[in-house]
Amino acid sequence: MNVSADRAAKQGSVGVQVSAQQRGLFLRLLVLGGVVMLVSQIVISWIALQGFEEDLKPELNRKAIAVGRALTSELSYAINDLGIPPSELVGVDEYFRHILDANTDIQFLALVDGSSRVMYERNLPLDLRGRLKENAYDPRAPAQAYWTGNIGKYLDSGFPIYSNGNLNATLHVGVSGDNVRRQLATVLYEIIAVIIVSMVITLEFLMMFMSLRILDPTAHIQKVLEAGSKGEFTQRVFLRARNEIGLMVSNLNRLMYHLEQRYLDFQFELRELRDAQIDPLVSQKIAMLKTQANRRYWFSDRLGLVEKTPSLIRVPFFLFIFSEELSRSFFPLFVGSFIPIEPVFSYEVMISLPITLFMAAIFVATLFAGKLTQRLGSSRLFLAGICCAFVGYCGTYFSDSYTELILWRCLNGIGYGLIFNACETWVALYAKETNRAYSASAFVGAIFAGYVCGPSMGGMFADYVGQQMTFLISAGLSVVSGLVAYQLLRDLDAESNVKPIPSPESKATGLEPWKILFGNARFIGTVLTAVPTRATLSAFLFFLVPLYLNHLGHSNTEIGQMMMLYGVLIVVGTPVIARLADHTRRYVTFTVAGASLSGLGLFAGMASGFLGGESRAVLIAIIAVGTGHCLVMSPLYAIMQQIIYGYRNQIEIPVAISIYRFVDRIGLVIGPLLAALLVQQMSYPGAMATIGGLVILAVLLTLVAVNTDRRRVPGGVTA
Amino acid sequence: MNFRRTLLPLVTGLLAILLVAPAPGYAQGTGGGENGRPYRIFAVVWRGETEVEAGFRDYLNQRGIPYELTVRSLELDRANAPPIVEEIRRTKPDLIYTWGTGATLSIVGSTDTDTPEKFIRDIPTIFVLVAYPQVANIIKSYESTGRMVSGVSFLAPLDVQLNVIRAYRPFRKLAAIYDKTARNSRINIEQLQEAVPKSGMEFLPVPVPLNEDGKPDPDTLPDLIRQVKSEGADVLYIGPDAFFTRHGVTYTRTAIEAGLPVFASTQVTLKSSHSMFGLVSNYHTLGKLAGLQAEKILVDGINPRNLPIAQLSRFKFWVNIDVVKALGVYPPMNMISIADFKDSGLQ
Repeated sequence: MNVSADRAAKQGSVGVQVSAQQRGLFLRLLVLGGVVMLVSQIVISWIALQGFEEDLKPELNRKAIAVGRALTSELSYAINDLGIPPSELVGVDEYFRHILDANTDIQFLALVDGSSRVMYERNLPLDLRGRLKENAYDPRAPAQAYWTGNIGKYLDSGFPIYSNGNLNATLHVGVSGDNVRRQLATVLYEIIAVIIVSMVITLEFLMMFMSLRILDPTAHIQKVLEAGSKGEFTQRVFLRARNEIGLMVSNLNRLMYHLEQRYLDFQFELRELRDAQIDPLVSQKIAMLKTQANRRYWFSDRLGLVEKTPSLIRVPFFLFIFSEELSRSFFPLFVGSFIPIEPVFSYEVMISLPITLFMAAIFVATLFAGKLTQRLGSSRLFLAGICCAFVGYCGTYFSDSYTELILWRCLNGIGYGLIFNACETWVALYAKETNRAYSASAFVGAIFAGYVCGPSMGGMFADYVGQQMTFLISAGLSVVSGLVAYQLLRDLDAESNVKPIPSPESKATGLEPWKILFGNARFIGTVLTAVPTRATLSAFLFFLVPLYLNHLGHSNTEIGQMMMLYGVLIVVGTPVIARLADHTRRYVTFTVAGASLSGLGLFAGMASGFLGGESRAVLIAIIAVGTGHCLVMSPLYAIMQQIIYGYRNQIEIPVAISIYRFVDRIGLVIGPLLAALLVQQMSYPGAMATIGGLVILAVLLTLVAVNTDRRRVPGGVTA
Repeated sequence: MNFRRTLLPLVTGLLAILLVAPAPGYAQGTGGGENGRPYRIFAVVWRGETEVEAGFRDYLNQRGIPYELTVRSLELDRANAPPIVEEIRRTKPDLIYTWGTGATLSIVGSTDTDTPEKFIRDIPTIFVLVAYPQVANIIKSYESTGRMVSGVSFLAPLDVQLNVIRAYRPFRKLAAIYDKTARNSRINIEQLQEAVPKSGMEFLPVPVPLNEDGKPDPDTLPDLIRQVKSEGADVLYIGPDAFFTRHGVTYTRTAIEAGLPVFASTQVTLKSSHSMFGLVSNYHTLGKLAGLQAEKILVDGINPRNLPIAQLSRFKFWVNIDVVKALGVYPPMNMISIADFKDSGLQ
């Protein structure tokens, strides 16, 4: 008994050691693959952009020429047919303004007389007033409908208006090179967003295949070989793959099989030999030999063993989060189109309600998900969640009333809650004690990857195929997620090794754990930071950002790209900060600094004049909030674990975690509603600043809470 | 089985159409009047046929509605009405068509007339070119006329007219010289008094003095124009006023000499004078609209009592370019593409 436990412990440590080495190799491979992909994508995009620029300029000029021709024909009608002298034309300024408003690609319009003196103009840059003659009518050239030339950075086309064969006036239509550049920049941002998203998706799948086909099997082979070197041949490796590793595995399994057969033959022969002996001493010796052999070598008739690893769930989970995040950048705007003519509440509150209720649905789903996990197992729960989500997306696509929209979104929320719980349970069950943090990061990583990919792609989809259609794409993605999950997890459910699944929720009914935790000032301090952090995410990023940026005239694509920045920051920053915080162990400092930064960042809207425009201010706020959340997240979780670990004798750890999560999610639910109520009262920057102020206030309260605790328990903070 | 179900009604339907339709062009199964004869329409016009009647005929022809149209003219005098009323009584047409306020009142009378026996009260009637049918007591309201009469409205809404004037130039003071003896003119002035200040202009109404006969004196027009000019008016307005149909040329020539542009709200004024611009109904389209009203009464059997007065939604922005040039008040570029440029024959 003791021996086998000891052996198991040794095996475990060996296995982890091996996989740590492999992980190094794996990481290098990933980085290499990523770099190669990035470089090739950038090169291809660069070449494409060059071609695009070549095409864009003439395209813009074509438009200028079409507009110029139409204008010239009307001006010519007024001057020649109606006989209005060019100098007495009326309302030309207003007329030009209409044209420029309708054709934003065109920079300026000017009507000059025969000697290039400007009679009427709109938007003509001051320095160009005297330079239009640089592109004037050339009397020596053959008569033409128009001519094009460069004046400074402008591409200018001249359209002559003749009266009785003489040049009476010339219309100048200018296209700016800036416009070309601006359009190119838009395309460039789209390309960058697509590159980042495709990188993330590729890496996710690469990681999945590496784990599934190479990392996990080799680690397992190592384990089997290690065990074999100690005489234990009880395990087989289970892998259905036709690659080198698959070949190796089948050879290994054959080897094990033959070894076992030989050993059984040997045992049989020993038994035959013993039974053939007359001398009891010899017979006893043979029996001893047999026992000795049995003690040195173990065989079993188990066919194979499949390792359940936390990373299996990652890709399906990522795909689901991706599908959910697709609508993130435009959802409040989408809701706006469903609001009845006579809304029950204010417009803002009506917009926030579907988001708030979605969050509430997640909240409610997680409450009963624990029991469901026990009954169904996490892979079936995952599929159940996918079904809810799929129906929810399709319903959203087909809905044509506000109430319907809310109902379908709540179903989506329930799906989200079930899937979240299923994945969390899966990771908690199959993570090894020694790589718990790594496994958790795989789980959180999937969410963050979704944050990166969803909003930017969703924004683009919304612009190209429409907001409503994007929900169908989400439905499709959720189906893919379900299929991948089914493929990966179906074998595992079949031989479900019935471990009792802890269901924290069901045990959390008693109020005692709540009293204990909320009696701890540090716990209260942590909650005081966690709730505003969550609320900032849902109030600012999910609600205010799309509405505000749309109000400023940004497209779905642009809103998605700006929101993507948050995801990118989190993906890049969180692991770095986690390591740094672990290294310095200054968790509280990180948390306070991060929350303060996110709070202060929300004041950016107030300083838009100083920051160079409202859009830029929002962007800065997103960056500040993203960076702030990087600083907060891992350290906050570490503090929480410390506290919960401190109470492990009084409260079961899952119960404590569930209490924390319960409180933490309240922030997500109230966030949009709070933001709506604020926007109703004040401007967008005002609402942002108020939320920022609340975050700062919460930070101050956290500091007070932590300090009272420090006075009571010396050294409690850094423990 | 299926054959019977689909073919039988089809064949019966075809037969029915063949039996009912007596002549080609008798489309839409309209049936015509009693016993399938053409509808008899009796038109009473003020001074000969116009483009409106042409539009009216075109519509009925296009719709394949069979009709016989009898046209009688009052030759600008309501005294010519009694024999026509008598003829209508005798011939009993299916529909009466009247042109203008004078002809309409001569044939059907006002709603509150003391001598209803002098008028036709029991035959469906539609009017055209009546500027203010409600104020003239021809109908009770635009939605429900309250009698066997309906029609089409031809004036562009006053606020739209004023918007057009302001869009042409930011004029400051609009003067209207008018015939105070004519009902239409008085109504028009009352409405302008309310609407002009709202459009951002001042309003200056000046009645034409009467001569010994109690009629407006056309000789005073040049002095009146000079008077309003001196009082700061920068644009003149002619409403639906028969006096200016007669004396329009003198009036507008004097206005041009005084450097004042004239806006006219009716096509007849624009066409017969040297007004500079106006917002008017296209007479041909107006006639078609009257045709539609006639179809509703004759074919659909709608009682004119329940047939709201129809109105055009698009109007013609008429600009007499020769007058524009004489005055040097050119239209703004934005209006050039929407204007209908004409020549009033000033030279």
